[in-house]
Order: sequence, then C-alpha cells, then structure tokens
Amino acid sequence: MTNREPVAANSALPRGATIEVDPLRRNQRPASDRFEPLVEIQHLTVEYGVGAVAVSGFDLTIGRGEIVGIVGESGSGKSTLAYAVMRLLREPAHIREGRILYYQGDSATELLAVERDQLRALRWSELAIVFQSAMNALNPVMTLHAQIDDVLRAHDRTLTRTSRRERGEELFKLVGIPLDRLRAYPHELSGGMRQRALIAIALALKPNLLIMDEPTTALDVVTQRQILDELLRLRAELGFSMMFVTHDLALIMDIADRIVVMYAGRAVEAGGPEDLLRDPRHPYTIGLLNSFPTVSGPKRRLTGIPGFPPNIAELPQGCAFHPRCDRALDVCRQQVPTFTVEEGSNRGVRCWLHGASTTLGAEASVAEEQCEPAKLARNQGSDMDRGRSSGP
Amino acid sequence: MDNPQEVAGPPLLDVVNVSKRFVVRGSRQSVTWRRHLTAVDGVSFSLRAGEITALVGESGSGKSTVARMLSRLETPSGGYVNLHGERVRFGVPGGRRAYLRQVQLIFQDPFASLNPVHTVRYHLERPLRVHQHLRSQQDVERGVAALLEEVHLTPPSRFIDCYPHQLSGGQRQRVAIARALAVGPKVVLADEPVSMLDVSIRLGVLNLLAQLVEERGLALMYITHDIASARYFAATTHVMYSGQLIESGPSEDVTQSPRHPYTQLLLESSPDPTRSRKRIPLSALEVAHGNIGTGCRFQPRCPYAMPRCAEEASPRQAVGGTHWAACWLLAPVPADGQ
Repeated sequence: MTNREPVAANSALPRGATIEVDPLRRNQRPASDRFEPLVEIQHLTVEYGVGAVAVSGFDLTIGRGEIVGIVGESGSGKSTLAYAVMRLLREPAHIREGRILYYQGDSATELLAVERDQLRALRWSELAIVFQSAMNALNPVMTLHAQIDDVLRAHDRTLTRTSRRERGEELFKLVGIPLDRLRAYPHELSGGMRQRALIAIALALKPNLLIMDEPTTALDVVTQRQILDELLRLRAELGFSMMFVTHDLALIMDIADRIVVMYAGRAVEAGGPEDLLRDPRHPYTIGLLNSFPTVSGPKRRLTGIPGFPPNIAELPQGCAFHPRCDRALDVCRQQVPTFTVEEGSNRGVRCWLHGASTTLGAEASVAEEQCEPAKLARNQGSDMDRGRSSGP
Repeated sequence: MDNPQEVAGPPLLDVVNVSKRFVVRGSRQSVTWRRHLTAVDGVSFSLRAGEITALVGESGSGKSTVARMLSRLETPSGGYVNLHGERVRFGVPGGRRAYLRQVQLIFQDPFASLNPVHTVRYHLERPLRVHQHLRSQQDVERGVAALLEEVHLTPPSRFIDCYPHQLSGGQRQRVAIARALAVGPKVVLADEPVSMLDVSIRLGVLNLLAQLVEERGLALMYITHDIASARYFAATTHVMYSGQLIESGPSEDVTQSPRHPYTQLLLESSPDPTRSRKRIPLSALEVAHGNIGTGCRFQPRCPYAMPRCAEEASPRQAVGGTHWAACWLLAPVPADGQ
C-alpha cells in the first residue's frame, strides 16, 4: 500500500488567482503541455451478477487538466465505469478484472485495492462525482450550506465554523449561485441551481478529478450551456480533470479534449472531437453523428441507427454492434475486434473494417502492453471483491 | 423527417387565448399566503391535419401545461378550443369523452405512462373496447396486432404479452404511441416524446410519428425543448417563454432567422459541433419565473432591453409571411423617425 501524501501538499491549484481565459477555446489545458497521467484505467471488466458484463476490458488514461468525454447509450456501461472509478459499485456489480491507478507525484495508488479509511480520504478530496439527478443527490431536509459544511467538516476537522462558511460562500460564487441561496433547501431551487450546487459541493475540497455522470441531462439547453461554460472556466482556473459521462455526442464534442465512444461495455472509438466529427470510423459513431439534428447550416440527412441497443446479459457473438451495422462482415459475427490505436495519435477504433487484427485473443495483449505502473501497490481481493460497500 | 409537409387544409384544432392560473399556497411563521401563478397566458395557435406543429420552450415555460389542458388533464382558466371549427363544450354529458376520442396525449416518460403490472395487450385492448366499441375477442386481437404493426413492433406476437419492464425505452414509447392511436384520434399531442430515449432511438420514434401523421392524416403537436429537432421535424414552430408564445412561423424561418432575442439565445445554446460557438451574454443568466407585471417577460434577461420593454409587452410583430415575434425591436419605426 502506497503512502498517500497529505492533501494540502499536492494541491497546486492557484487559490483566488483569477486567470482571464476564454472558456470557449478548446484544448487549453492549464499547467503543463506535457501529458501527465492522473488516472489510468487498465483492462477494467465489471460484471453484474453472473454473465452480464457491463464494462469489458476497458482501458483509458486521463491526463491532468484533461476533459475526457465518455459517450454511450443506456446500457453501454458508461455510468458503471464512472461508479467503478469512484468505488461506488454495489452488489451485484463486481469488478472481475482490471486496475485503476491514481497518480500522485511519483507514486500511484490502486483505487480498486485501497482500504476503507484511505478510500474515505481519497473521495471528495481527490476524486469527486456529480450525479445526474440533482434532486436525488442532495439531501432534501438540509440547506445547501449545511451540505457543503458537512463535506468540509467531514474531511478537515481543523476548519473553524467561520472558515467553513467563507469557503461555502466562495464555492457558491465560483459556480454562480447568489449567496442568499446558501440557506435555501434543494426544493426551493430550480434544476439548474441544484446542479450548480452539486458542482459546488463536488469542488469543495478541490479534487483533481471530477466525474460528471450526465450532469446536464435533466436541464434545458440554455441552463445546460451556462453550466458547461462555467465548468470550462472552472477547469481553466482550478486545473482539475474531468471524466464527463453523457449520451449526447453533440454536447460532449463542444467541451471535451478527447472522447471515448462506448457500446455494450466496450470502447469502440476514441479520438479528439474534431477527429470524430470530420473522420468518424466506427459505424456506430457514424450512426450517432447521423442521429442528431443540427440548428445551423443546411439540413443533413438523418439516417439514425436501426434496431435497439443490446441487452448486456445476452450480447450477440462477435462485435456487439453487428446486428445493427449495415457494413457487417462475416468475421464481425464471430470475433470481437481488437481496439487498434493509431501510431502516434490518440485515435483508436474497434472495428474489423479498420485494421483490427484477426488473431484470436489479441485483445488482452493490447492492455498488457500499456501497463507500466511506477510504484504500484496491488492488493488482491479488495473489499470491492468481497462485496463490502463503504459509504462516502 | 427530412421534408415537413407544407400547410394543408383548415385548422383541425384551434386553440384560442387559452390560459392557466395556478393558486400557490404557502406559509411562513404561521402566516399563510396565497398567490396566483400564471403558467400559461393567452396562448393561441392551430393544428392542421397532416401537419406537425412544434411547441418549443425551456422547462417551466408552460408547454406541458398547454398539452395537459388540451388533453383535459387540467381545466383551463380562460380561453376555449375549437375542434373541426366548432367550439368544444365540455359541460354537456359525454362531451369530454367525445373530445378525448379525437384528441390524445403521448407522455414524456414511457417508464411511467404504462402500468407496470399489465401487459402490452391490456394497454391496447382497453381503448379498443371502450372507444372503438370492439366486442369480440377476435376483433380486439386483430386490432391490437394491427396497432403493434403500425408502430413497427413486429412480429406483434413477440411483444403482445410483454410487461413494460421487458421492453426497452424506445419499445415502450412505441407502445404508448399505439395506445394513443387505439382510440382513433385525429389530433395527437406528444409531450417530449423522445427526450427520455437514447439518441440512436430518438430518430426512429420521430420518424414513426411523422409517418403516422402522413398515413393517418393526424394533426400532431410536438412539444420539445430541443429546437433543432423541431427544425427537422415540424412544419411550423411556436416558441414559448414564461407562459406566452413569443415567436412562431415556418420552422426553417424561426430557426434560421430567429427574431426574438429568446429564440436567438435558445439556438445559440443548442449543442451543434458543426458550427463555431458564440459567447452567450451573461445577462441571460436564469431568472425565476414569476409575475413580472405588464412588461415583456424576457426583459430581465434580454441583452437588448429598452425602457419600453419593462412597461408593456410587445404585440405580435409580423416579420414576413406567417412568421412573427413579440418584440419591440421589430416594431415599425414611427413616421417622425424617433
């Protein structure tokens, strides 16, 4: 087990320093230009009960200050993935395989192996999550201030009441909620305000990774746009990374540095938003791009995707997308293609039409090559595997 | 979905000046209070056979209240409705049922609108018996199968004995559509019919609705917060803000040359990776809806607000053809050049 450094020491975030940035510019990662990994997911496989594999052999490295979008339909495993990183999965979900490394300086922590106390310290101060339904995620009988106060007090006993209140006010200012709303109960706020409050609570301890699980799905477009602009501004100011889980490809293309498209538990395509827009390769990505209407320019022909998303408990043999794919080959019905990464780029695709190799079992080797943990503590049979659930 | 049909025929359903006021009660420190909240304020529009009309607005704009009033789940506080050119009288015996035989609502959430303890068969049989007066089991069975085929749940035998939880969201919404059709309506009100569905499924359901409009000559009201889908799917688009219609016209005109500042804000906010984005003015920050008096309701958020806007709301200003917007910016300049 690696020794974790005190939280305060590694927070290199410029406190109070306001940086004038244009939130609309893409790819403006603060801090260094060098890609510095923050979280590395290695060959993660999550199964519900027996046989329902929600996430299968998933690899992803999120860099510091990077916004990675995870796009998929319901049942694609995108939320399961987010919950796995936060260690929020409950029975019958269990992690069958894989590692999630969290890098702090030179050391790496295996998130799936850490013990309860350590997990408690990591959550919220290092990794925070914003849930989809703000109404359900907030406590209806506590004022917003009490909820922020709760987080601050639980993680830092030394804070005085006054400093906690000041921090609460600072956070509300940060996400654009009027300060008089601090004393409000969740039901007294609009959906947009509630979602902002959740983001404020998530940012309370200045986490390095913010996981957003469909944070704006329940909101209308104007509010959604404001919150996204706000998030981009906060990211530029505070330098956190984001894993943004959504079903809305059009939305994520506006804000992500890199996008992973998931289908039936597997990454089927990855790349920058421009790459995916100009040159989508996987037929599923192409289908998604041909599914949403545009507000500007000439009307496009919308073809959509025929059929229905598969049930993960009874996935078809071979590529899970083949029953809905109009370009399916014979091999697609028999073998799952490998995820082929293009040399020297962050583009990758899992499709027989795009250079997947035909060797059986090659899939696992891709993950193997990428594993290069620095100083890694691994503990077989973590509490997750034993089914113990731990509260935040 | 590519070619919304052009305007055809006289209006089937005419909505005239419909309003809804809710009474809000509350108490603070043993002092009770009550006030009125005007959710819908003098809304008029018409629906035509074989045509899709979109009603676009953000949450809280009153668009769902309009649908609920037209399907008589709420009683309007003011205004009336003409069906086939005749004013609908709900007071007379059987009036409500006769109206609902013509006007049906599809709800947003197919997870909530189907009864979880009943099968697809039950959901479709009931309206066939109650409204279509089918008696023999054989007729009913045939009717259910035809409905399932019409919404592309084929083969019907695979779906007929399913419970809602055995179906996917898209399949459930198709059952909900079939249930509305079972009554044999002329007007269908679809309240956010695809917003709960996956992106790849939405298009299929919208295309199905468009096909039904064409084949059955339905008048469809498509209520949505997604103005981009209104552009592709509806011939006419009405934009609603805070209980009032603020702009309407042919969908392409409204979405490509929006004239009301709110419509412009709505379009700029819509995600669209194929264009570069403009910065949205901060003044557009959300403001609670309430009673804003006589002025324009968008005025507190409007970047172009003038003193006049706070005093009185603009009437409909025509901007060419059937396209209009309620904004003083579009008012003709008085002759003295002021």
